[in-house]
Amino acid sequence: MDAVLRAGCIYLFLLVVFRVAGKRTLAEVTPFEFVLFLVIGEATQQGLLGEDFSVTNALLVISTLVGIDIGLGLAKQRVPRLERAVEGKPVVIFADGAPLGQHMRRARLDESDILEAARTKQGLESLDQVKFAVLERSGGISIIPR
Amino acid sequence: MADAAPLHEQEREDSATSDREWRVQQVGRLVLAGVLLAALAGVFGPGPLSWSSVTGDDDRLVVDYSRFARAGGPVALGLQVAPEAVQDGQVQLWVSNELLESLEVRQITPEPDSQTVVAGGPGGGVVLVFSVEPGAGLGARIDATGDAIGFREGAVGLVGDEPLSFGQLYYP
Repeated sequence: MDAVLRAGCIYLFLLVVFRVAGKRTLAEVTPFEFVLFLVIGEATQQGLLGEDFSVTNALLVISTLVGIDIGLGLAKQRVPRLERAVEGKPVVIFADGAPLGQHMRRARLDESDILEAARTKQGLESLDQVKFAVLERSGGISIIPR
Repeated sequence: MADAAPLHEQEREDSATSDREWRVQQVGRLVLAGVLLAALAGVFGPGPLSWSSVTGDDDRLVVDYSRFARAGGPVALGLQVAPEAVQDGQVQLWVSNELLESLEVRQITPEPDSQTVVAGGPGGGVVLVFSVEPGAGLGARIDATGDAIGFREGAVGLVGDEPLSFGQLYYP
């Protein structure tokens, strides 16, 4: 019982934390953020397992995390509002040659991020060649050229 | 056009494979849901189905234990001794060797005044002696880590009384 409850709590907590942190949190990871995620993983592991290092506990924790993920996936299919709440929705951050300032500020992005995505994904040289840029639910930036 | 037939064949095969995988996934999800419900109920460790107790005929001793425990996981035993079982301000509890072999005791609360090893064999074990206030009973707890796999039997008793036996299933 305790293993399922612990894993459920940790899953929900991480879901909320990363939802609050924003889409870009996991999309591109700097060396420092990589270390931060390792530390978060270590802290999470201790919370998940507690003092119980048995194989059964590990199997139950894994089953719980996968089970909740499947359940949430099925629920999101049936309830679009839940999907939006959990994963957010794509946000247009650049339209017709002009950055949408408020959307970009909220997503902690600037023009250099759009330009980088334009270069790497579409081989574009300048923002003049970009028609739309969209911050996807995954945290990545999609570029639609003119 | 020449490639159309193999592709249609491939599509039919993919469709059959997809149906099979979907059925397996559905069964797997049901099994997973069953495992999680069983875990919540306490079939794989602490939980409502796991909590149990054994009481002597005269209610002088009650032992609370988990039917299901895990090797490497925390295991707790609760020992409730009635005031009428206190003799000369002391309670003497015997814990069987079989029980101690399946546990690695971390803490006994309250700490006993003494622990005496009793010779091996059927009556082998450890006698814990606790001081008790006059007119009061004793509520003691043994916190341990599971150190066995499979079904194990153990016994706890008041010295001089018939010991209370119980079984625990230890998961790996």
